[in-house]
Amino acid sequence: MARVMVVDDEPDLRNLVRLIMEKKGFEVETAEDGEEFLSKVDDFGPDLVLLDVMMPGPTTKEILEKLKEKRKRPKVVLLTVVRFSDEEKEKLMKIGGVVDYITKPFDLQKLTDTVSQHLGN
Amino acid sequence: MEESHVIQVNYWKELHKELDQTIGRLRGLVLLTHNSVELEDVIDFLNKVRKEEFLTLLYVSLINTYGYINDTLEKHPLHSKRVFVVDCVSRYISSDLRDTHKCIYRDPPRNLDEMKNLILEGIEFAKPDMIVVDSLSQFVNFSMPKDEDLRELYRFLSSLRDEVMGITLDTVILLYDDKLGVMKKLPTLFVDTILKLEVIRESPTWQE
Repeated sequence: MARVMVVDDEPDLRNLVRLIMEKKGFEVETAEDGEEFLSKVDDFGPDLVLLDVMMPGPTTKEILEKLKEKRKRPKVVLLTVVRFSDEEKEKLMKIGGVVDYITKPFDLQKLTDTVSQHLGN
Repeated sequence: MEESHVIQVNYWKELHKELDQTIGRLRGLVLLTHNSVELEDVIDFLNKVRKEEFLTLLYVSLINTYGYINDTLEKHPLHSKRVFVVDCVSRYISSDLRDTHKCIYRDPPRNLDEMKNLILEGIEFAKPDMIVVDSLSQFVNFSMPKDEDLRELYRFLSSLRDEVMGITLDTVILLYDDKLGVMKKLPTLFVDTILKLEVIRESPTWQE
């Protein structure tokens, strides 16, 4: 069973996404910020991370840099209201792991389609 | 069942003929209520404002990175306006950012008091003729505002009037769209003009 981690500081959204991912048959773990995520990621070993960009604590870049050091590197889908330039998107992609962006507020079908696509389900 | 009371009555008038004149004369502080307004639509709106004057514009961004703003301005130029940006989002993705004469990078405000301080800082840097805040959505959910959030908003608007508006500006304009839900209560206190922005996008039928 593929493992998905949901990292978002908005509890309602985090719980909603957890429910949807569980319904889709994924094993799910959540974290409310980058620090909690980094403390859980080794134990849980996600295949894909849904990572909110605007959270307190470490920046997205710092989180991605830390993920780069992990033995098992999950795919990362960024959840964001922020609009980036193409150059900025490329920079994040280059750090590694980022496979997609989903703009908030998002369509739940699009979210599940994106996750399934990247997990090959 | 609880008895309901009328809490607000709004009258609306379509002003197509006068609208250009109304927008053309706007001055002051523009507060966007939702983060769903595309930057190119904000630019289009600003291009209608005081067309004949060269203005310095302070854009406080809680949604678009400076890189994105620059890219968009290349495709959709802002005529006769100099833009100074307070970028409150790029620090989420990078910590090594240096202020320039066109942009300062700051942490996102955690509340409306911090937002006011950012505006004051931006005024000091840019000496703007006009200010745009994009947007207030993370502080107030205008589709379902809580009384507490509205009270905070009114306190913010009132203190802006006292501390900011006297400097170069004299009007608060609230620009909203209802893509993410209709505004349940229009925050009319301390606001001089409320404009609804309605952008309708549709593929031309001949492309279908």
